Amino acid sequence: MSRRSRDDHVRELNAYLEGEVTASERGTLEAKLRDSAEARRTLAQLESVRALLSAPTRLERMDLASRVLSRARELGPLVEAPSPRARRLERAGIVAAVCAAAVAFLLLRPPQETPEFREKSNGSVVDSGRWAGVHAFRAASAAASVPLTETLRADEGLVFTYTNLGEHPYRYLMIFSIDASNQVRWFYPAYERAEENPESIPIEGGRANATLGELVQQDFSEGPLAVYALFTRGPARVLQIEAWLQQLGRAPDRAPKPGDLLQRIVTRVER
Amino acid sequence: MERSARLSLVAAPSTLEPSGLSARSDDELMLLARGGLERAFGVLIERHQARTLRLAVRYLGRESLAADVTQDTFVEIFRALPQYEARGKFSAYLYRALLNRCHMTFRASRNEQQALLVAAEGLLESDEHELLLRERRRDLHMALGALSDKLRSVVLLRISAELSYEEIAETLEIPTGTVKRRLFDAIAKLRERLEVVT
Repeated sequence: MSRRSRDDHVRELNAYLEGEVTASERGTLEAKLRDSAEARRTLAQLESVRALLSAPTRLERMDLASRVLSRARELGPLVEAPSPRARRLERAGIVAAVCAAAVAFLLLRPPQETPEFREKSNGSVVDSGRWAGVHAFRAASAAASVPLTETLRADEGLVFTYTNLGEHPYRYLMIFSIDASNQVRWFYPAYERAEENPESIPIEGGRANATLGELVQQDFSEGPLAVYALFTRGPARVLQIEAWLQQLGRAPDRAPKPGDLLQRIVTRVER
Repeated sequence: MERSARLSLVAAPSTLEPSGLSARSDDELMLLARGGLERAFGVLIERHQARTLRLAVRYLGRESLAADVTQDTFVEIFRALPQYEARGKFSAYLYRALLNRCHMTFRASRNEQQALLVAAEGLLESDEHELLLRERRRDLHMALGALSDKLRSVVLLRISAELSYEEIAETLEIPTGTVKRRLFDAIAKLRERLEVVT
């Protein structure tokens, strides 16, 4: 057998062991293995190599987690990068103010505290009739958070979970708020630099109460606060949504595109 | 009015029970750990430690070195928590960091490793089976060392760490077809080299 055909033969047997052969190829190889002691020897060698590589080690029983965390603590506290979201939020406010003065007057009516509004807001987001939505929790620190209800203290932040069930789940999510001073503030996506135009965050289908994990605190104005969760099929960008809000000139009551979902949660900021 | 938005992380109330943690995805555990729940990072380590240690041992040939490198990898990831972006690719992130450390350690300790391997030959062994196994592993380690970094990485990710082709492709940022080709080449070379040795 030439070297080239021997190499091809070894690759064939490798593919056979990996399950990367068709049924026809498997049949041919198994016939060759039955007939050839050399082929069986080569297969045994390949299996031996794989067994050596995959053999467990004694280390697998060690308490690695304790060692890692102990060493990590020795190195001192983690340093959070300064939040770029504050800068971005300032810019969002300034952009809104400039546009209001220049071309179109950005007028977002504060959220109405109507019974209909309340039904859509702080009650159970995911009931039997709904299959996508966010659930909001309020917290003042990294301690336990509680579901957001009718009020939010000014020193509290918000953390969210999302549910995205159904046959055709959404693929992206954005969460923003409009407060009593008509400022638009973003929770998701997060910003890395103020000059960026970040895209909606990807979300998984088939998930229920999936945590987004971040506690975000904003400097809300006292009074009514509406938090919006926008579920979309395709990605959207922050400036795109802000432009849509400016064109609307009022608090949104539906998603910008058909087939997307806009959820509103209403609360009240108190100092 | 000065605006501030502090970013920290907190778990929704239902996530803090131990059973709840083990059901969490890698990204969720990272985010929970970033919020101060160290236990979440411990669960993450336990989930991945067998395969990461196995890869490091095969790569480096010494258990103590492999333990240190794997520990340092997880410490590095823990320290980078504030910058972590949850995009469903923790496995690629972990193994990329581990392989980088293995590469650097392997090169730095290569001469020392060869000396240790030679010295091991002089040790008396009362258990013949253990001796044969140790020799076989030494031969495997030398055969792995003779592979290129590219082939070595793929074969260890696939067989020692049990990653799928897609996970390997994501980790190494190469097409899936290239993963398969390198895997088959690597195993063929290992088999050839081990056959020569025996």
